Order: sequence, then structure tokens, then C-alpha cells
Amino acid sequence: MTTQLASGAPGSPGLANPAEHGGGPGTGSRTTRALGVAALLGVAVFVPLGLVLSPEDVMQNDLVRMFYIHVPVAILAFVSCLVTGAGSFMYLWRRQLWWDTAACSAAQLGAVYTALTLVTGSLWGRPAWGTYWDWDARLTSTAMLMLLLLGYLALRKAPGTADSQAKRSAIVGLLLVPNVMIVRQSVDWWRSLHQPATINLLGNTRIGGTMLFCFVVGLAVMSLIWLWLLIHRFRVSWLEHQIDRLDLAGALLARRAEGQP
Amino acid sequence: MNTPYILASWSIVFGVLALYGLATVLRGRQLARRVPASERRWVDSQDVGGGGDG
Repeated sequence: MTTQLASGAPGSPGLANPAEHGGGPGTGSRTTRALGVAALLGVAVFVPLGLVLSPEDVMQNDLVRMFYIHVPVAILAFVSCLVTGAGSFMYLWRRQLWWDTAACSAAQLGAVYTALTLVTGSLWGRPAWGTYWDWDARLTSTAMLMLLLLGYLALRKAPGTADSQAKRSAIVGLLLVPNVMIVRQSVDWWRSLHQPATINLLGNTRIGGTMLFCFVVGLAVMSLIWLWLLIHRFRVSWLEHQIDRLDLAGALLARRAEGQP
Repeated sequence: MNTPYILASWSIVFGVLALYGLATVLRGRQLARRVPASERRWVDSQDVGGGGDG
């Protein structure tokens, strides 16, 4: 089974000279610049909106401001895992490293966002429940998701060919999808300290007015940041693959040159 | 009352994402020096030889 990353033939060796290839803009492009500017403008609106202008909640008082940051981060952690699962499935089906690169990039973001979900959740739990941590169904299943993501990333460092590394991690990547479903449903399936879902696209949404507006703005801004990070992370992984490929081609050419009289 | 928890949460989220973004961009710049622009499909023609990330 062959893998395919780029359609072109391997380039020439001797890639250590920056001047030969131009300093280049790294992983930036017009799209990422536009996304970056939009995200920064969004943050400039979201921070005062969420921290100052939003009214206090009747039940949670000012802790509602945790909701604006914790829930979008958690949603994007889940989205990252679902993208990893989709990329893993596509890799196992098509065997193109493009899909593996996409899955790996999303898994890295998934680990960062899941860690942030756990930290912001703990910081919310202390004033709301009186404890930073409890072995509750939602918290425990989220911690297990974090471990699975770390396992996925660790597996990528295991020795082997690009294909075997991608195949092994794709199998773990597929396991992220049912785990996300378990985390999502945990508050309904088991008795939990964690509150039930506040935002439900198919049922009752428990907030409205200015608070819902703040949440939607927060989700939009955090999504822009996530997309910007995902594109840059994908391009970094792409460059790493290209360098491996070009280094290998250079080594083969050098070996052939040694063999010639 | 709850302000320290709220500020800590917001600061950690934006701080971590900013640092992760910065590290990713710097790593990309470092790697891009070793790869021809033709292999970087996202590069605009006017970007070759200059320009910044974002």
C-alpha cells in the first residue's frame, strides 16, 4: 500500500540554503492574515462584552462569565476530536498523507483545547461546587479523552515508516469519536455534579438575551482562532513531511553519486 | 468575589492560545526556509522572498 503526499517528484537536495528558496512567509497566507485580523478584532469585542457588559445570571451571578469562555473551548475540543476522527477515517480509506496530516493537526489542537477545558472547568468548579475536581462522569470522561489524545500524539512518535505511523494513529483517532459522544452524553446518562447542557440545538436552550448573544460572539471568536491555529498547524506538519521527503531524496542521490566512477 | 477565578480562566485561555500560535508560526518560519516555495502551495507569488505571517 503506497502513501501519497504531493504529486510532484522529489526536489533537489541541498535544502539548507534559505536564499535558494526565499525567506518566504512561513505558514502565513492571505487567508490566514484575514482570519488573524478578524480574530483579533473579535477578541477586542468579546473581552469587554463577556467580562464587563454582560449582565449577571440569577443563579450563577458573575460566574456566568466563565460560561462564555469554558463552553466554546469545550465545543472546539470536541470539534477537534471529530476532525481527527474524520481525517483518520479518510486516511484509512484513501491512504493519502494529506488526511493524516489534517488528523494529526486537529489532534494537537484537540489536546490543547481539552486541557484548557479541564483547567477552566476546575476554576469554575471551585466557586460553584466548592472543589476543583470530582470524579464525576463528565469530568472523568473528559480526562479520559485527554489521555486518549495524548496517546494518539505519543503514538506518532513511535518508530516506523510514515505509513505505519499514520495507520496506527488513525486507529486511535477513530476511537476519539465515540469518546466525544460519551463525554457529551455523560451528564444525561449518569448522575453528575456537572450541570446538564445549557445550549441544545435540538431542544431547550437555557439562556437567552444578552447572555446568549455574548456566548454566540464568544463561540464565533474562539472558532476563528481555532481555524487560524488549525491552518498554521496543518502547514507546519506539511512542511515537516516535505523536509523528510526531500532529505530522503537528497540522501538517495548522494548514495547514487558515491557509486558512480 | 469570583473575579480571581474568572480572570484566571480568561487569561489562561488567551495566554495559552497566544503562546501556542506564536510557537506554531515561528516553527513554520523555521521549516519554510528549508522547503522551496513551489512546495508550499499556500504561498502567494508576491510573498516569495519576504512578507510576514498572520
